[in-house]
Amino acid sequence: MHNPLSDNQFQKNTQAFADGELDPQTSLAMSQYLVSQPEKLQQIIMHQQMRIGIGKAMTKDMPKKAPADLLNAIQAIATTQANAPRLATSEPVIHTKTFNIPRQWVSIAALVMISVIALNVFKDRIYPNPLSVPNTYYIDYKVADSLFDQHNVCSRKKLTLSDEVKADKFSADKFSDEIRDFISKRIDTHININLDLTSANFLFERFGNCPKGGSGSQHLIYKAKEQPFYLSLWITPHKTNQASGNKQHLLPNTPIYTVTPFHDGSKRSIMAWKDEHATYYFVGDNHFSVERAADISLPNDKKPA
Amino acid sequence: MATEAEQFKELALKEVDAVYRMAYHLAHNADDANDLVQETYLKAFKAQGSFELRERGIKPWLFKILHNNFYTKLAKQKRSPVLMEDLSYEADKNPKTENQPAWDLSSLDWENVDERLKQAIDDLPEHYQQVLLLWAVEGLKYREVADVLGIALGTVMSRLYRARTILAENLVELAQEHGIKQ
Repeated sequence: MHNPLSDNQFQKNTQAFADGELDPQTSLAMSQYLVSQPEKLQQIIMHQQMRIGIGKAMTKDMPKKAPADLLNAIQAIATTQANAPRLATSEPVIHTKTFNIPRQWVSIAALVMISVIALNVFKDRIYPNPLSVPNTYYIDYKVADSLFDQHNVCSRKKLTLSDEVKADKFSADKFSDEIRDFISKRIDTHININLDLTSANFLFERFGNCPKGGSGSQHLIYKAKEQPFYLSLWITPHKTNQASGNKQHLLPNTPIYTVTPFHDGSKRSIMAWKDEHATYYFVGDNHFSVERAADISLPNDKKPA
Repeated sequence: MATEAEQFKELALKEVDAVYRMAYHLAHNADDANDLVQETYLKAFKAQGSFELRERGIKPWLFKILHNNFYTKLAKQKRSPVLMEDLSYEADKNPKTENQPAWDLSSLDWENVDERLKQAIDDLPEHYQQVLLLWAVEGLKYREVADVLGIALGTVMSRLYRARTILAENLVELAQEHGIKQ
């Protein structure tokens, strides 16, 4: 358990916390502080609103869109360069910071509690960038590694899943309900999420057995409309032994955003959620896709603000 | 199945508006912004083999090329001086120890503040405006802002802290009009 923050320590970290920039350990300490002094939440909200105000002011007289002739010129550059030989170059590659995450310290209950309080009280005022939500949480990178590898292998390389069932088996207008019923029977558990992600621009492709999410888990694969992006959803029934690395970190009915550092220093996003029947893992090519899918899929009363 | 080159092209073209906004901010006019964006994309397409898709996508990478391009041009005219506030930051290495400023604008309607906020931003030094633009308009994280601008993470934090403090102090009068006590 952590030592509680002093008032001075809280003030030092207020802006970074509002910006969603603190490490998980300090975020947790800040959240715990806010539990004891909820009136200080207003400071966090002020900084988030100030960011929005600055953004609006800075773009007020600035062109929102690139001119059409510039777009045409860049299209031409893209076309010209498409078949050009690649240059050896030292152009920059953005590397994100790798965190060493101690696994045992997280008292997730306190984090979830304050997040729920904050999101309920200020749900219309929180800065909308999902990456700025303070309740970012880190899970075991081995689990994330495993799921991301499988996501890429199964979706991009078109690996056939065990007992695979494709989208054309289901009716176009009711496929979400039909798939949910089908999977519910297959794994003998209740599924309580919406599987139609069309409004997030993801079309269902297929699903099948995949043990990467835990024994008995089902891997559903979606593809973005007219774009080379994929989204994976694992549904793992609780009656079996699921992914042991995640089990202790997920609380019932609590959506957890995760930004998980990889061993190579890169980061990926998973959104994991657990109810009384199953654990769900959304894995995508970027955090935005995962967040959009979760927003549509989760029951209304369980959505993050 | 789209090839990697096609995926790269699609990702890159999606960010044209954001790159143009940043170029416009740097160049202060449409013609130079146009040139900057075209040069940026030309370099980006040539260098696409070195691009690795990260969590935040391609935007920070394009911004870095844009900034490198812009400041390389400037450097040909005059080598940029080291900013005093950066030196002072490097000396203490601890921007987060600064106390919360005295102002409290928590009741101000930030989404509807008048022209004075824009004017206050315009009055900020250019290097503060750049950090604010990447952070507040383009939504980059501190680390990404640091990477794009080629400055230390702590310098980003320091500039953001000071920029926000200056803006808030300049808006005290506005806050008082809104009945906010200092």
